[in-house]
Amino acid sequence: MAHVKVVRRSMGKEEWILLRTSWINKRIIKKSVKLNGWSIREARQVDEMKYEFYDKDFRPINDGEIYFTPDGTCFLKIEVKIPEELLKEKVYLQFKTAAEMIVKINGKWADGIDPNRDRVLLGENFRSGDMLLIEIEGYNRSKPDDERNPKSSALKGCRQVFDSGSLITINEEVENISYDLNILTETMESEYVKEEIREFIKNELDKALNIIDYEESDEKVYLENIRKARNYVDEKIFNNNTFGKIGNVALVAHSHLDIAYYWRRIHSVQKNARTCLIQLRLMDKYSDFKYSHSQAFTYEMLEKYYPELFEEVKKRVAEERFEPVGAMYVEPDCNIPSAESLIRQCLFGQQFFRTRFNKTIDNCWLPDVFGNSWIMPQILKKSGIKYFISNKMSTWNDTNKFPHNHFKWKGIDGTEIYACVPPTHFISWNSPEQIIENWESFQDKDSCNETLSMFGYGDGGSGATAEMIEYMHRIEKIPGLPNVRHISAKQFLDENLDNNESLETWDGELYLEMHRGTFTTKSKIKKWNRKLEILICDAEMLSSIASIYGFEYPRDLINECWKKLLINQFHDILPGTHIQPVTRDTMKDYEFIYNNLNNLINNALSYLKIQASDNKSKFINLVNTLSWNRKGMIFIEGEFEANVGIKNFQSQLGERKFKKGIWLNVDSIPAVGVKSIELENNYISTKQDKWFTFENNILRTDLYEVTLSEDGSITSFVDKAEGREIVSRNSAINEIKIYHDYPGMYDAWDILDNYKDKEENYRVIKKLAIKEAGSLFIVFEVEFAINQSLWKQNIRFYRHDIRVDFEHYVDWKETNRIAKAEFDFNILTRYAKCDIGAGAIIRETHKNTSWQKSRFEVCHHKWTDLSENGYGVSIINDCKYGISFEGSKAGLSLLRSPIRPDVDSDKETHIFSYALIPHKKSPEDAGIIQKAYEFNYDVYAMKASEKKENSFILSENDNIFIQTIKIAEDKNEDNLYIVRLIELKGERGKGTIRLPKDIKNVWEVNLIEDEIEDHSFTFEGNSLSFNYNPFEILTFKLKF
Amino acid sequence: MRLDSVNLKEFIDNYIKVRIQADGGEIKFLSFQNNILTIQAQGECSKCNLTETCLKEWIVEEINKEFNKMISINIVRKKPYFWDK
Repeated sequence: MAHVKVVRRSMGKEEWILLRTSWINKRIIKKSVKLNGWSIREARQVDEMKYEFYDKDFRPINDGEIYFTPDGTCFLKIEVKIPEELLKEKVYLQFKTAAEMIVKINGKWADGIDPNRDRVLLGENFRSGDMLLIEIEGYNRSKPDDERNPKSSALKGCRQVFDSGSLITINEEVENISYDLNILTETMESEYVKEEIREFIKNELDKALNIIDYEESDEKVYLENIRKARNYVDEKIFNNNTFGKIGNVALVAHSHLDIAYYWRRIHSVQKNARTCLIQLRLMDKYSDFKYSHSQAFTYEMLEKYYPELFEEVKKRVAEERFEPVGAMYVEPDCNIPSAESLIRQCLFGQQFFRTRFNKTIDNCWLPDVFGNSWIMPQILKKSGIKYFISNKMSTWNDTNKFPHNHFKWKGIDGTEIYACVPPTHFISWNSPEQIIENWESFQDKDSCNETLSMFGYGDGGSGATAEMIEYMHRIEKIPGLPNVRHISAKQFLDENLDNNESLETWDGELYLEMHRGTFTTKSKIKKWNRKLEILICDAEMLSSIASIYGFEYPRDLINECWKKLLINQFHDILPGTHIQPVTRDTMKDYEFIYNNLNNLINNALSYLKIQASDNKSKFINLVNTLSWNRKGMIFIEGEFEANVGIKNFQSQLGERKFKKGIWLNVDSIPAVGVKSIELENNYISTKQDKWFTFENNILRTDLYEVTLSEDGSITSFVDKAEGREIVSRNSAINEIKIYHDYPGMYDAWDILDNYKDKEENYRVIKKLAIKEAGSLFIVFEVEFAINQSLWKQNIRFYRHDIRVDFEHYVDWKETNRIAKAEFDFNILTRYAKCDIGAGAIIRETHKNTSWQKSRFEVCHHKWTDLSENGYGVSIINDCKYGISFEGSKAGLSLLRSPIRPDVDSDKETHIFSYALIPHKKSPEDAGIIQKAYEFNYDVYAMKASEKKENSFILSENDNIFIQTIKIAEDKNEDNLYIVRLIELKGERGKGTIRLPKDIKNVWEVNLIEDEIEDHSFTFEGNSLSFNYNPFEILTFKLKF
Repeated sequence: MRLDSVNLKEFIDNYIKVRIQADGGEIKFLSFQNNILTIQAQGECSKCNLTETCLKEWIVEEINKEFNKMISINIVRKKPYFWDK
């Protein structure tokens, strides 16, 4: 006989409690008058506060009609006469919508409506005949994959059915008991709550609900019973001391706002305004309510487009109820941006908060960021920040539980800051279950007595609701739940982390065991970000040098470029986890930045007489912006006649990254300086000089002997000077592999560790053959086809350098594939050293424990090295951030093609390059860091009217990189400049830099340019000498 | 503008599609024959309840505004692999 599960068919006590609670909830609305007479004007937003209207004017819209169009905005308005039956009461507009709306009443910002809120207070004590003009701006962009709130998930869609709403009055006593009952029934149902407490609440709730007659039609009698029931709940449940409390949870209200994600940046202007407006109105209603809001950019938008709201925010900030958090300009990705970008996030952020609110924000608020670089503690601390907050590691890690919630985070240079990784999600709504889970998951109870729970809806903004605040007021009174207090983020951090010596220390990067695909997805954005990070520092440096000699420094335009670059480093833009229109906006911004920076560089170089307008001149000035003398192979892009060469230098016409130009082998271009060269029309190349042989796919030179395969992979590479084979036996390096890449719904974010299970075959359509050969280098080309995609590769071997360049052009049309360049080295090592922008991190390459296994894809910057004692191989790249290791194998991630959120992500042409450098000694002592910079920094080639050879700025130490020279933010005095230096090799010592002019005064400053006294330094003439520590970032303010 | 396959594809790609993408959806032009436009609904559109009704109606209206002709639309849903159960 089959087993039949017996299901109770009659109602149990719990169900009976829930049913009666729902009957009470239905009687919250006292009176309701349906609204009719709305007008609508539909539009599409095309820029910040700019619209393309579909309707010439407002037109009527009625209940049941469809409104909103894809990517639509709509403006609604109605004139309302307050009905007689609602006079002398608080009157609300009730308007149900899946869209996000901001509401104006009689010209003043009233409140926000969205799937989580449907009620706006219109006023009270109206007089007969009072009229109201209600104006609404609506955006139909609720996040489509937000399943967290079941009420809102049912309402998705780019078109909506119009519900004209009602004017309502509320029975506040019923609403109050409704909040009591709702939170208590949630407690009763939660498995996180002890059985005995649940049983107690169930029995007492049942008794309280027995007091009410649900069929009572006399409102007065009904309300009297409601009061009695509420008193019963108060006395028996809320004042019960039998069960005690467990733990302490601080409740901080916030709203996570993605600047761009499933919406464009232009829409975040309204999303932010709606969020701020809602929170301001909650402050009006609840005198104890405080709210924390991050990202200076969002405040800037509010100030620009909603000045009245910004003034309200300012007032609440002064009262310490609206709390700016986060210190940064936006919440950026914290893996890929350069050190200077992260510094500018802090600089622009702090500058805004200081000038508008007279506050320096001492916390870095990054709840949703996909892992955090080891360079951050130093950058944050030197930007006036004491605390780091991010929820990701505690709730997203797919393999290992991050062992701390409160700890000290030690950075690459040894700097320590306090860190808080709250135990639960940053989007929560103060449900009893969430509060208990938060305390129970808290791992640092020995060192801290209180944990942090952030509450408020987020991603698309929104924040706290009245319900969350009502719940917050009741949690404290519920038996068995933790003690709670509603405080600011600053108060929580100051009271729990500051000077807490019992906190443990985490020394290393904060690697997120999830979202590993974000190092590679939308690779074109990453390529441009790298390129522009370099270009903007060059523009600042060259403008500064010109300015020292009298040029007007283009401060505003450079700042505008910086801000656009920083916005696009937001953690759903740079990682590539967004819809296609966001990519289009980003590329438009990049074009703006690129064009303007190029103009600025040209202007500065013209002022310095390095660039001439004389196009007929044979002289070319080569400009090096790196802080060391640059030598070796450099490339000048352009069209040159076939017989053109460079006088007194070896040169060879050819391509770089599929663009034509000329290569030359230079002896030295001075550090941050210029050197003139002269074009020669009848250049005699030394082409006949046979410096290589290529037979049977083996390339032989004095430096190396390389065996190439027809697909461009290398099966043998012998470094002749050292007599070493660098390719593992029966294996290869530079093998292009295409794998199936199906990580699931978070397609753009993730790579799974099983991606190598299924490999895609490809056809070699042009076997390896010599493409270019001359006196300086030889280039091989190879082509292959993968389904519909075309892949071309040029491999360049140099005569005087053991470096090999691999340049790729890919017309990428694949779906759910990942492309890797794999290297299997004949190197015995268990470690890889990876550049992280301001130093290098050592990562284990074995898979001994789950911690190493989970790091199957990591982020690096310009170089990675695998070495054994005294010898190793480095891979340097111009735009690739994802890399995998296994023993002595490395796999550089080249391209992905996820389908969500963007169905066509990455399906376009890509050009990228990387290089291989076998070397003696350590990578630092082999000059790999400098070579990686040189691989990324172009030499500017300018037509010259006069010959020059001079250095403007020089670092005398090869480990001290001059990262930035800019005009100081301090505008009180002229001729103040900022010089920022990074120690790259992990060494301690005394350094010297030389500057363009004699220095009149020097101050050491932090990254937000406040004067500090951390180092001893001296200056004389144009030299500045200072002590430095490993991986340190030093900043000086100089007066010339 | 003449209503033919080329012009209609261009209109879908440059007008309809960019708007739908902004809401996380995606459509692809497949064919236009016998006054029937066949499009593929991808992304969020592939699982949305409104695709067959409201979205289709809007596309028909927009095409009519542009080409002054009413057409029929056949929508083929292509769910992403992770929703295609």
